[in-house]
Amino acid sequence: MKELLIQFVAEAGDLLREAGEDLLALERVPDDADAINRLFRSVHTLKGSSGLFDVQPLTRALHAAEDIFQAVREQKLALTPEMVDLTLKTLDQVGRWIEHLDQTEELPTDAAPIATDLVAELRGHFNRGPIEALVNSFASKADASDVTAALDRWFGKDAMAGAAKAARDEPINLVSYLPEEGCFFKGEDPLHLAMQIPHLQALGVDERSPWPALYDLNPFNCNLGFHALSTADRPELETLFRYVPTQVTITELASSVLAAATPSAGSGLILPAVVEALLREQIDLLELAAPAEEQAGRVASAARVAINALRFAGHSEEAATLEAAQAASLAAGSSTSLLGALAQLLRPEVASASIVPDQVTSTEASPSAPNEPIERAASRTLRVDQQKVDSLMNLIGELVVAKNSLPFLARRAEQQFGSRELGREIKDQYVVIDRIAQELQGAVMAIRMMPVGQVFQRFPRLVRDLARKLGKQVDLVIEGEDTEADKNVIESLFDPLLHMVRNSLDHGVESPEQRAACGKSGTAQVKLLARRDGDQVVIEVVDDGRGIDPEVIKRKAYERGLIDEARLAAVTDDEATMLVFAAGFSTAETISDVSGRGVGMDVVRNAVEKAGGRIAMTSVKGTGTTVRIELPLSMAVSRVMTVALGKNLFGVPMDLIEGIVKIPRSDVVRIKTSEAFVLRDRVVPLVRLTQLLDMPDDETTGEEIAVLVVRVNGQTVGLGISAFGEGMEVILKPLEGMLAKIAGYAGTALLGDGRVLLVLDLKELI
Amino acid sequence: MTIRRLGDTIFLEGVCAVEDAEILLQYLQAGADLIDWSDCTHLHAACFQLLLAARVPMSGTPANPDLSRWLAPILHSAGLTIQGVAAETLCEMEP
Repeated sequence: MKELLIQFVAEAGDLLREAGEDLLALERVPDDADAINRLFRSVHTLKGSSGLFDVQPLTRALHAAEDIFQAVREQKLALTPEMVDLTLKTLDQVGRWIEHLDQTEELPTDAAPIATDLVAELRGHFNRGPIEALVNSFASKADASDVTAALDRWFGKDAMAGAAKAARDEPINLVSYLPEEGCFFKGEDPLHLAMQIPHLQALGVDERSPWPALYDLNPFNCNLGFHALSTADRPELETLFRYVPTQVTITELASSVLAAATPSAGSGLILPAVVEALLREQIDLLELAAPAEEQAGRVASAARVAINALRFAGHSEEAATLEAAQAASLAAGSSTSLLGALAQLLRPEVASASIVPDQVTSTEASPSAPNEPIERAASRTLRVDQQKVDSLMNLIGELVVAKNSLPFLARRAEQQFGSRELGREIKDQYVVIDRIAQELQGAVMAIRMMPVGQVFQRFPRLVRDLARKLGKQVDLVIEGEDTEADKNVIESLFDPLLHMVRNSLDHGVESPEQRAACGKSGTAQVKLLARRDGDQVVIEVVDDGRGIDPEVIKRKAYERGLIDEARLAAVTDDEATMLVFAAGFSTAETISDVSGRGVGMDVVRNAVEKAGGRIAMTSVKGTGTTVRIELPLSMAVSRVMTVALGKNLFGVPMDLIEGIVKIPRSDVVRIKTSEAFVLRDRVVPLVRLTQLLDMPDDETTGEEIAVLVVRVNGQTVGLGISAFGEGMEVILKPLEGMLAKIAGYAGTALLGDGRVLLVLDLKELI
Repeated sequence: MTIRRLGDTIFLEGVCAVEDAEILLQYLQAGADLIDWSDCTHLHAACFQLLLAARVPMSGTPANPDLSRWLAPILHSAGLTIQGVAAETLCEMEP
């Protein structure tokens, strides 16, 4: 891929994310000037850079969004939630296109129509295109002076005055008719249709796009749009346009609007753009220094052009004023009075009446963007391919293994070669290498550490969208986003968190009315908290919603067959809450697209447990629910305990182990084919690891059996083994290739003496 | 022939339909000073938009009152203003 495009894709990701954040910030605090400036700048920069590539639909969509943000920035437009939705949708779409660009170096084939739709939607809220502007100008509540200017441009003063007279203080209908470009091929004659408008009072035309040169003109492409004033009532007009209803907008205008547009109301002189440009040119001409003998000629010629232009535009009074000024100028031998008269005609409000092409306005705004110091460039972070860090991690893993072989070597030096001194020296060196290796390991772990904020930052948007969809008011509070954890842990966090937040919003948080009825504030609070607790990261999702009623949970669990009657009676309230995590549990009465399919919480539990974490839920009925996830800081290093089974060594994850005991063989109780023993007054089932692994039975006939007491799937089980090994930290590598299909093993690790340790996945085995 | 050319003037006569737009465009592209539409009874939108784009001055008053009432002001404001510019630019060179 081209270097430039790679850079663009990377930059676009950042800009889009920033734009999204600013947009949300802006929705909360509409007059946040910094946010809108940043937002505008992000979108503007992105649009600018996109121009370097052949991604026209993307550029167009961004341009339309940029126009909206610009209008918001200039306080011409108030940002409504609908507009936020729409612009977010646009940013999302752009994000998808960028992803597509990243993979294929081009936009998807359907980009053009999607962009057209998006632009049309965006322009619907706010627009500047010549023809769309007039069709939608009233729908988007353009301010009154614009309406006046537009009316005047379309119809001219005389026609307006006539129409106002005909309307006799009654409202009049403005019909804006924009035929399709290909309408001629359908046998339509839009002009004929426009002239058929009943009680037509004024007719004006507008071009869909600026007229091309005659040589480029396609005569069968309709470039016309029509505006008409009619005193006929709406049904009559609708009947006329019944075959082309989508191309017509009918707007009722109060007669006062017409009156304001007619000259008698004194709204100032409004000149056609061409005339205005002409007048300006004359001013420029007059302002140029000229020899005295040419002065008179110049004044005469400038005056003649200006007067003619004004007459053609139908402003004979102004033309007369200019004639007088010309005479005065000639008499005085200076251009001053003519200049003054011209300038008077071009007062600022006159200038504003002409339509300024939107390109001009956007270029005006652009200088502000490059002038800003670019902070991103100064960022001292390094983007490194994750694979490089992973391979570093693997190398350290090997170093740890190599290091662990030194004690073996020391023992050999002592025992086989009888050199105690050498053995001690090797041990000393081992301690040094061990320390460096540990620090190295810590440093690489730190590289892989990411702030939880990476995951949290996606939630403000999600919560906003969900809350709007559900019609609830929710305030999301995020705390501890700086808490760091391993990248894999962070990445495994998003899905569970998403489920939990969805559940909170859907089931936990009540509607504003219900909240008010309970005496709570209408806006609910959902908190995402993260903190470090020893070698664990604790994440909590806290809401102040309706909480969980244990009775309801119990009943639902029973109805769904998750617990039987005996259990139903025995379950405590705390245990009931945990039933939420059982597979197939859902309390929602109906399935919504937010949550409630009964897959939510057990998926959450599985995901968290897979990442080596734990999940718990507490809830107080009426005041809220807290879900707490505990995850290890890093998944790269696991603590295991080695156990011997005959001559084989196996690893058991340390976090599952509750204890180790040795029980006399005589204490093992046989219940049919199963075995059990009593541990602290409880009957604990005893499982022989040899049976689980289909290995030949242990032949040793000692007085006692070594039993590893583990807690798996919420049950305490005793695991019969031959002998205990030692606890150690290993770098667990998952089984790959053909071995990946073998169930029951979490992975492998290398031991210091070069042997392979198989680490058991007890959840699957038992 | 509803569209006819005589010297630098284009004549629009009778019903100027959509299929006449092509020949009108050819005439306009070749260059014309004036368009006479005195005898025009119907002007299709396709022809009308060419007149708008070309901005050639119109002469005469069409036979069809609808055309003269609604279209004449539009065409006059488009065509004549430009005509004024062209003429006066020449004047400017005189001194």
